[in-house]
Amino acid sequence: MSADLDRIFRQEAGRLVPYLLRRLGPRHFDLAEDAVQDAFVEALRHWPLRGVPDDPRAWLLKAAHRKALDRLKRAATAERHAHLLDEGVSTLALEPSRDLPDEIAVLLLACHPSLPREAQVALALRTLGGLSTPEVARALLISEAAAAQRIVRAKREIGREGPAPVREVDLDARIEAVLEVLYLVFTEGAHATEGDAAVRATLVGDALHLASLLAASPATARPRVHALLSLMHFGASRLPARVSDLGELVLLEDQDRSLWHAGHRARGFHHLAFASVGRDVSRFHLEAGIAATHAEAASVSATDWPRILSLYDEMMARYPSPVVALNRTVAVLHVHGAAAAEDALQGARRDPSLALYAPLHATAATIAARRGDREAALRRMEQALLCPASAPLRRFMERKRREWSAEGG
Amino acid sequence: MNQYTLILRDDPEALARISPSEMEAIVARYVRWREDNATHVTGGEKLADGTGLVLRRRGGAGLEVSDGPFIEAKEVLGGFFFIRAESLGAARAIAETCPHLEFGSIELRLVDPTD
Repeated sequence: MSADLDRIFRQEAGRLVPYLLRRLGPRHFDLAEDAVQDAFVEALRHWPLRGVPDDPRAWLLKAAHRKALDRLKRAATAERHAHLLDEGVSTLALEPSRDLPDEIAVLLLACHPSLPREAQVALALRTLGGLSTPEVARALLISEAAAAQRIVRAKREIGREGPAPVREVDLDARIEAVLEVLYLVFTEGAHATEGDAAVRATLVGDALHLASLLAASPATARPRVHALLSLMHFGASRLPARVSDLGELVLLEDQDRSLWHAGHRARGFHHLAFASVGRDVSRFHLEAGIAATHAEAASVSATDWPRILSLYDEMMARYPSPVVALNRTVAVLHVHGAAAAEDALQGARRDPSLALYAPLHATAATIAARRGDREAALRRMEQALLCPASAPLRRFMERKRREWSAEGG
Repeated sequence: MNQYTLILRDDPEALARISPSEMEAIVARYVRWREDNATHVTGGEKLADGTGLVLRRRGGAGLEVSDGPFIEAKEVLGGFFFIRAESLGAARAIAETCPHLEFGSIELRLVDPTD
């Protein structure tokens, strides 16, 4: 057996379930999942004794196919359904003329408009990420019961709908939902300092993989898909520098940029070029533009902060949110100084949705420190420490508080 | 050197609950186990599921044939490993690290030496 088996089961779960689901129809979510589980159990019992096959993926596909038929027969519906497993027959989602990978067809299905976003994310992680329900729960930092409930509800909703073709006009909305879900999955994964680090780190790869499939399929490729992909690649490029060897959070201004992953950075620019075709200016376009501006710079001081500020201004005009307003204040700090940043901060500080958002108070503390108001800085950092935060973020904030306390003498 | 058989029985319930990530870990452990014991593990066989008969001769009533295998216990006989080792103790040391124990039991038996 070889080391190529690393991650093969989880990856194949993310491929085989959509493969079966597409051919069986959305009413058979559970059957598809069970058949794939059966195939894995077969492999686990077979490969150690007989050796790993030369083409493990092909072996698993055949086994999953066989197990699905077994289960269908046992459910006594073989007469009606067995033919659906023939190669190339697709009963799911889009018209047969569209050439879509199974994973994308199922992802479009999972992002059904009648489902709340959190259910879409949970279902996508389970069906396409190959995560078990407990793993989904750990990835989303929710209880197992909550995760199970979201997944069961999602399957039921979708099963009720049945296989309906997605019309062109609905496809745009559906893709928008998919992009939101992938963005959430990526963001969950990129905060790899919380929860079970291993599980969350793979989410970054999952999000990139699925977004890449979207971008590569003519039916689903859009400039904003490339924008999201660009944004993700830039984000992924910075991950190696975000957390030190000791597990400490490293701020952007302190990051060793030589650690930024060159391959991801290059792909970030590559997809940004494709995103710039046409007149679409989605939220992802603006965020990708900001990420690219950071990626171009050798250091924080060499960064084109005025460009970043104007991009944030555009985001506030088109896609305002408290978090965007907060992030904008950092750009204001770099362009106009601490007094202006303090003014810019006021709106965010009053927003009730950010009351327990540690980065708000931490940013406010930093701005106060830059203004030379050490007492306000300490007060605001105390407030930050009352908020939920990951262990590395907490340690970072404690360290800052100690630094500022010590300065007082 | 003696020949020993590891008779592998599966606990179907344990298998059903294993997640893909856990399976990867188990397969990785098998890789290491086979490598670490390469000179001792001489082979393995898997019994096909869902096939099989149980035959008995009952007194004067002739041959009784029913579908097998025996499934009275929860564990189904899945297959065998064959190993070479100096002693039962040595064979046991190898069997103890076999990843099959994650989802089933192992019956360790000496193959009767031919002389």
